[in-house]
Amino acid sequence: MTKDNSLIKLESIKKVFYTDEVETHALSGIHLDIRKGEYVSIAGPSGCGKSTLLSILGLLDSPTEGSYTLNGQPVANLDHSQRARIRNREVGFIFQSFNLIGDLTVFENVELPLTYRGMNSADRKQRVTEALERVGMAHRMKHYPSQLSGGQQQRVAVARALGGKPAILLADEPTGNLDSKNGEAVMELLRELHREGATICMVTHDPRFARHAERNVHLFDGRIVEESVEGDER
Amino acid sequence: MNDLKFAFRQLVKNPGFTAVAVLTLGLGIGANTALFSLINAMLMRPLPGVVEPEGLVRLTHGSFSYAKFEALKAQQVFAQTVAFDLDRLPAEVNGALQSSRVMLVSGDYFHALGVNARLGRTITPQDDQAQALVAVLSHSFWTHAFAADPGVIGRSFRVSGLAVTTQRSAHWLQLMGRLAPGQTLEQANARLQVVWPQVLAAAAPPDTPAASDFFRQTTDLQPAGNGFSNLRGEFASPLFVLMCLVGLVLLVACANVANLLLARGAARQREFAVRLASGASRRRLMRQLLTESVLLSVIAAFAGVLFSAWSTRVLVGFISSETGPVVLDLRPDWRVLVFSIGVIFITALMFGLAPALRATRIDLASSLKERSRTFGGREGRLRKALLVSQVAMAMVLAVGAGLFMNSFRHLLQVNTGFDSTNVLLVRADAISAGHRGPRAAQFFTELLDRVNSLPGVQSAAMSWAPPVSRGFGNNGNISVEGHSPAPGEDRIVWSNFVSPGYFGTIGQTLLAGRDFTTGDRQGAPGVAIINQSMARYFFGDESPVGRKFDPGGGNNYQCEIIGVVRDATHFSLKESPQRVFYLPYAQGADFFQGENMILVLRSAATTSSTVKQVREVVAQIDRDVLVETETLKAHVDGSLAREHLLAMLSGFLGMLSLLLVAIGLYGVMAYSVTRRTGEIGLRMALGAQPVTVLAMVLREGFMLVVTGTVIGAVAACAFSHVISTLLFGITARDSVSFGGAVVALTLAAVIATILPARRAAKVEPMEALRYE
Ligand SMILES: Nc1ncnc2c1ncn2[C@@H]1O[C@H](COP(=O)(O)OP(=O)(O)O)[C@@H](O)[C@H]1O
Ligand SMILES: [Mg+2]
Repeated sequence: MTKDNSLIKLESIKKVFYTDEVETHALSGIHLDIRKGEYVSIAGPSGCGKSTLLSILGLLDSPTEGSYTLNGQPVANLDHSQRARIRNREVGFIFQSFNLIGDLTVFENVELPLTYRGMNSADRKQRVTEALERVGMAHRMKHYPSQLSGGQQQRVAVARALGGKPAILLADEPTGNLDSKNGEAVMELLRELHREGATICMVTHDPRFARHAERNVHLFDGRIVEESVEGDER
Repeated sequence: MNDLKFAFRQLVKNPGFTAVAVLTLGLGIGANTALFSLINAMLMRPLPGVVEPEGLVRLTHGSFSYAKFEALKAQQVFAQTVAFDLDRLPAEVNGALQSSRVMLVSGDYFHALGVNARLGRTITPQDDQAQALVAVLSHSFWTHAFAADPGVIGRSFRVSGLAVTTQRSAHWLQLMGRLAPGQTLEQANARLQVVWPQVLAAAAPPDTPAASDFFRQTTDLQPAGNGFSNLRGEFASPLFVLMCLVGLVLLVACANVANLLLARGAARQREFAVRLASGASRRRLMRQLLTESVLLSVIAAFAGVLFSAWSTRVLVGFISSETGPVVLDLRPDWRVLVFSIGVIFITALMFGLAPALRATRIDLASSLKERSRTFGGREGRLRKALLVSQVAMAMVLAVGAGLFMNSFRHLLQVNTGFDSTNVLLVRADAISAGHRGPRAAQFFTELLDRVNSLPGVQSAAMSWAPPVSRGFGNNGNISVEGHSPAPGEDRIVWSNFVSPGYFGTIGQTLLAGRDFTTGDRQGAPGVAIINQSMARYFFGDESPVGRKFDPGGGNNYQCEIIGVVRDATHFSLKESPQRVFYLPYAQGADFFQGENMILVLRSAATTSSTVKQVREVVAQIDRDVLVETETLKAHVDGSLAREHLLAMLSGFLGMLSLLLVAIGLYGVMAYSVTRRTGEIGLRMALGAQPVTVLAMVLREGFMLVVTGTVIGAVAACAFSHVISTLLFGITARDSVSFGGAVVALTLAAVIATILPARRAAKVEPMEALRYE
């Protein structure tokens, strides 16, 4: 039963960066399973490898060693185009600095991943509207990112991640560039999405937000040093 | 000074940028100065050494007789009225005769110009009456022929053929006047028009009928203060067109450098922000940036001067081939100086102002912050607008180049009706050397005989006017037996005198009847060969052979048509077919009192040894006869100097502008891809396929090019309309030229965009996280 539910399986993942003859071991032997519908938070000091782990999960980067199985399929031998396809369909990214495109409207930003999927425009319109309504930004569809507050921009970014109905949402310190009130609101949004069934993996070093997750993974120096499940703690 | 030092340091610090900018601007500025110098020398520079040159005027519409000159002078329209004629005659240089420029002038000539003698005296009106021949030497002839010997005054020297020239010149004079103080050109012209009928009446030969064309001649006044040469009419409009094209190229170059500066300004944003934050005013910063621009422009101008000096010489070379060596005073004067300085500053402003304004309009708060939260933004718009305008200008240039090159191609393909390969034209000036009348005929007959027997010469013949005579020739109304002309009917036909074998030698096909023979001589029945156009006009489908006409237009039908030849280009490749008849040279002896014949000879190959042999033959007959040779091909090509100049230069400018646009487009796209690396990474992270990103960048480049091309095409339509009189064989909407320009621009766009696009397609999705 548990086995069938597995979405992500990382085994002995290592990531080494080579820069100017210096080897940086960003990840050294990560084992991690994420089941469908789970809400996992990743915490740890700066430079411990959190973003690196997330980018490997999101197929932005490849591990130096180890195996990664997504939805039962090993991803090691996929080519550029197949990886792009998986990023497009299975993964929804939420970035710390929102990463909206300034030349595109809110609507167009959310629509972008669907365009890359080759979806027809009527379906796209429906999906985008749904996603923007879900994050409460439907009334700002025609605005440009620069006309929105940080909190609103991050909501749009969440809508962009949701629009493609991905298997997993990956969020890298989604509240890092927000004040606490806006940060709170975005976290609340993620929690609601999880309740509605979304699988989420989120990097944060704010313990308050880590508590929103069902499971906390602690990284230190490229290794998982502690895993705790909300509820059995304290 | 501090600004200048810093500006200099900035340029040294970015050698790549500086090199590209200097080269680009240098070509633009240099080409502009070159063309301007030429236009200045040819059309704007007042005559050197002349007192108040703006007071000089000339009479237009051809040449005037001595009788007209005297009649006009008597009317006292001008303070001084002068006549002159320019010729080339053999004159004594260091003991031997050399072809030299000789000017026959009326007594007032030097007085009217306000030119005094440096040594001795100038010619005066008294010399007009005197029996003795006198001459004034130009400084350069004095130096050349007499080694600037001051003892030359009072000495005699030989000039051949003066008598002949004087005789002929009596009908081929140029008239010039000096306006009285306070008199305007308009006033003088009004007065001229009033007295002109009286001038004609006074100058008419005794028995001229009142209804004759003679009394219908008109004239007009033109300023002559810049001198007058036929170069002006011939090359003025092409040079102005080229000046416009060259100006466009400079604009394209400016747009390029402006784009480079914009990119550099973006990169130096933090430097400017720091300066502003530490208290520099915006005005101060602008001054700094504009100093950099002007410095760049000045350096480019120096590079341009070299290019300019070289290209002016090339241009003059072109014009010279048309009309014999051209003497143009190309030394820079104040006009060229003002123009150059103007160009430097205008250029600097054009490429420097917008980037400087942009660079100093900084939002301090955000630019000192590390990162912005969104990708993109609208900063690229100015760069794109510049690029679009660049493309539009390049489109105009490319279309212009296409039109001129295509016209030239059509001219080269004109069926001349003769075969110019391996034919040599020999001009032996027997008349100037004193051979006249029967003696001239004897000279040319002997020359022809000897040349015909030269080894390697397949055939040789003579003609009075060369094929493609460029205006030289004789025409008049003729009357044909049995053809009753309608009143006022155009019966004008051109005539030429040729020897037997002429048509065969130049390869002009005889379609009917026979060629001239040696039997067609003085005393034998008068015969003529006519061309197709004349045959068709006067005889329709009937055979003209055996019919008779009067070349003089009367009813003395004593000239029998013995043959018909194919039409051959008569005076210019641009002409519509002309009606021509040919008479045997031997029957035109009366005519040849003062006319030289041109020898045409066909050999297996026209080599320098053929030329040498011919010269030797002439020297054997008479050492004093000067010889000039030219291949028929060179002669025909030479008649296209103007079109060749336009085609070659506009082609070069078109290529240059395409190159500049390609560099500009590459710069804009490469910069855009670099600036948008994060955004492209994000698109990749969101699942864009590499090929999608490639297409995106290509599309962006193409949109700019398409927009520019469309705007440019509209402008090119207007341009081509303006230049339509310079075109040949194509319309102003020539689809080949427009299509070619579009293809060339598209090609340049593909080449310039493909590299940045490929780089974009290789961006890693990880770039989306780079600034996280
Ligand atoms: N592209 C890269 N090249 C070289 N070193 C890198 C690169 N990305 C990350 N690193 C290094 O890997 C380690 C982990 O980085 P990262 O995953 O960004 O840490 P975190 O997100 O936990 O702060 C750090 O030491 C970082 O310097
Ligand atoms: Mg990180």
